[in-house]
Amino acid sequence: MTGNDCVGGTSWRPALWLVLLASLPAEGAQVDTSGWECNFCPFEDGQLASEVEAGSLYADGVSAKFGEFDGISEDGGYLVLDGSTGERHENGSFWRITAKDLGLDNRSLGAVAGREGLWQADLGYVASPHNVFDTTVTPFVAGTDSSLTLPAGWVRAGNTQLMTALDSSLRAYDLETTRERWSLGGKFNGASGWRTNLRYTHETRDGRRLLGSSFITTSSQLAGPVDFVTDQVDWSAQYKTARGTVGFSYFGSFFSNERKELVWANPFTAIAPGADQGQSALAPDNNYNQLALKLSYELGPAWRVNLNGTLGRAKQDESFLPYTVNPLITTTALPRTSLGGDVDIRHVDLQLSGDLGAQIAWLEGLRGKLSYRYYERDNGTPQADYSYVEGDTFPGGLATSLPYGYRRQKLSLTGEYDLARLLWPGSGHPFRLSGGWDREEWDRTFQEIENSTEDRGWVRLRLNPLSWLAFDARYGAANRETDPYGTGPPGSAPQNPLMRKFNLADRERDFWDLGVQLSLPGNVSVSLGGFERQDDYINSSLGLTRSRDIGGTADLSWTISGKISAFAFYGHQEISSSQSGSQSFGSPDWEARSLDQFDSASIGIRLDELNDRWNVKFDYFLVDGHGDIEMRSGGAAAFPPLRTRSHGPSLEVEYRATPAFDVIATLRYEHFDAHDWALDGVEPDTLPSILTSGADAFDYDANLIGLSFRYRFGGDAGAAPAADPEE
Amino acid sequence: MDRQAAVCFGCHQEQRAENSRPFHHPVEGNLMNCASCHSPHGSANDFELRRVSLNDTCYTCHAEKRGPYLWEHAPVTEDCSNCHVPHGSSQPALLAMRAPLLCQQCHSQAGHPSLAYGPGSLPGAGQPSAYLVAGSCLNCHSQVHGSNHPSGSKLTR
Repeated sequence: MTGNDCVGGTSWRPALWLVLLASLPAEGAQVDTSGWECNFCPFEDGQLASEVEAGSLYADGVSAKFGEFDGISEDGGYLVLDGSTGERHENGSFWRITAKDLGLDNRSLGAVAGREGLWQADLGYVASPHNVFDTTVTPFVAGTDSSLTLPAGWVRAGNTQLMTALDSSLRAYDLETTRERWSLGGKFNGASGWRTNLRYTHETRDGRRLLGSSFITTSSQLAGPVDFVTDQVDWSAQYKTARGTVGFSYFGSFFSNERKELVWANPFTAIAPGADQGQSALAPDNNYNQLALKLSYELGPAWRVNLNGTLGRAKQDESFLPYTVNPLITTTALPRTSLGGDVDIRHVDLQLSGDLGAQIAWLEGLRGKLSYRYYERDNGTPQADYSYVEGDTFPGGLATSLPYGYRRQKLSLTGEYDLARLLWPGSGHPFRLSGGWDREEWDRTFQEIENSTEDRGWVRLRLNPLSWLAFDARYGAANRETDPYGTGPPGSAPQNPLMRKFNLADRERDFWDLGVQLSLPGNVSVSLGGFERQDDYINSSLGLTRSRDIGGTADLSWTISGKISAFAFYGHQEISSSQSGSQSFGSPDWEARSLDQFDSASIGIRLDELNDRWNVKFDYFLVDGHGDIEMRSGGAAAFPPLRTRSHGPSLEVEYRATPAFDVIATLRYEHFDAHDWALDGVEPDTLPSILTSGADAFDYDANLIGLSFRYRFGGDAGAAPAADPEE
Repeated sequence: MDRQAAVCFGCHQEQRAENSRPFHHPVEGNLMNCASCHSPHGSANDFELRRVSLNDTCYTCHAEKRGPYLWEHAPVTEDCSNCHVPHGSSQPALLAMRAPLLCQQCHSQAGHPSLAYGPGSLPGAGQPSAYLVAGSCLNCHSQVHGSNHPSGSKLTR
């Protein structure tokens, strides 16, 4: 909400320069820029320039969904507090400290210093909530030792409706997590062509997530703890010469979970002796180290070769929990005390690209690229047999771990030719024809098929027949063929032999995209787009058999005057699919057809610098989702529609009372309602065998009103705030 | 809308429409933007991703799912987009389809994975089914991204 648009020590000025350079006449005519003046980004030139904005927001009728990512999820007041201070010198040196949304859960602080083109160092902090539900309830009581117990007086029963103490034991909680990320980074550009970047981040994520807790025939939706810490290091160095670059990089990720397990009391009457509590393993610690090499070299004036190679290793060796916490079940010794998990990632990408016309005169204008990619997940985790216990209730059987691995290779050839050279030379209106073919091959371990090969081809036309009109159209098709479908690895639960998992199945795919751009008189620009992707799983009788995704968008922007602009956007998308199943474990005897339709629309008006005092932003949005699922098993039966509708206006008015002082008023209304048959009417005791969280689909009418004051001091305090390039 | 997302959505309108769905990544907040996953100035990877694969990109923020796990879920290790739609979905958790139908696109074992759960299994229409509502399959099989429990081969622990 700050008026200064400097980010990370750099402003959007480079983008402005690019636009200016791109607009220069192609024939090299000299443009007299001596009289040009940038009205959007006054240069501070060594003066301390600061800005602070303070005020308050008041929210009414909000919910977790409204404040999903900013934390405005409770009715009441919120502080508006933003600010920035810094200076920039003529020699390119700068420093800046920025603060954004300090009064909200979604807040950030940053400091950056450096010298343009030479070096930069930055320090940052950002917090971000993810509010999922605020209507969840539970009878469980969280302990400090990763345990969930039941309150005193709890009455166990065989089903939820007989839990007589349930209603009185329920307490509300918010299902949410919050990330807090600290970062430290820097980059340095050496005088001799060296450039290096380093970034370290430390992130914590705390909160709760839903976790199922099965005892074979019964289960509960628990508020499982989230207590993650992730440290990451990204370093890269690059050396550039006149004809090429060479670069090295390292990426390290170190994840740790402060909660290794969750133990919970069984709220149901145990169906076997001792099954009064259960235990789940939570996400284990892991780490990943990766080295990469990047080479790029110009083979001549028209050819370039690029090579990227990556070697990474993921390790996980968390100590195993016991087979069960049921003291009445005798178990064998674990085959290992920890996993010793070890996955190697190998990746190579080799590209040769160039201008064929530079070598062969009659191919002038033809460009091409040949590329090969190799990616392997080599899973070296040791296999073992585990005498598992079924849901802390009964001895199970023997299960063999399956360390999945795969290798993926892709060969691609693409080319592009400007047909305008043949059809209307010298017109200045490009007519580019491009096309490509690629073959992708997968080899897998421990799955129903080992090998699949997909060939894909496409052709694209980009045409600018008139200076104000541009077309872009693409059509393509792909065909995937697989090995004969097997029964899966030994020991896995037998699937219906007619099942074809969609990612392992033969598939024919068609796709097209279409785009039209018009620059109309009166400073109106229109952009229209459409697309379709259709997949047919031609040899699948069980599983996903067909899917289709089709949609279109329309975007209009109108610069009414130098100070007034407007835009409108509309998008429509339909995703449909068909899948089959077999209740008799034989031929297909049911089919599900789904159709997910989604419409979104928005309009907006911007008034900038009216009377040199007023900035006004007005937006209105509407989104409408509609999901239909029809089950056909004998007769047809339709689920109630899955609906999500939201709409509302927002208004921001900024008044410059003095050259250094702004008053900002904001107003926002949002209506949201959803109908979700998975949640509607599902109370904690609705399902006899599942003690659910009772979460409700969202339905709210939220109002948000805000008033804040912005004061600029130092620098050119009276200058107009830097324009926001997004507008 | 985040300034960077506004620039990207100027051309990538399909993604703009998807981002307006009820479930999407927080590109409008302070934590992430389009460049958190994509390299706008070029990348050797599919979709100009910052990391060498889609999964490696997702693990940057979802490191707890990297594993490796004792009991892995095969499609998870290959491609997160087998089940999730990264730019926005009408289904919770950015899922491509509602459970149990999403799970039944791959699981056909005899018994409850193969049964047809229709609207007659909803509350108010008869006996509500634990396989259909609330968390559906995840009511029990909640460790769909992998389990490290010795008794977790069915992803319930």
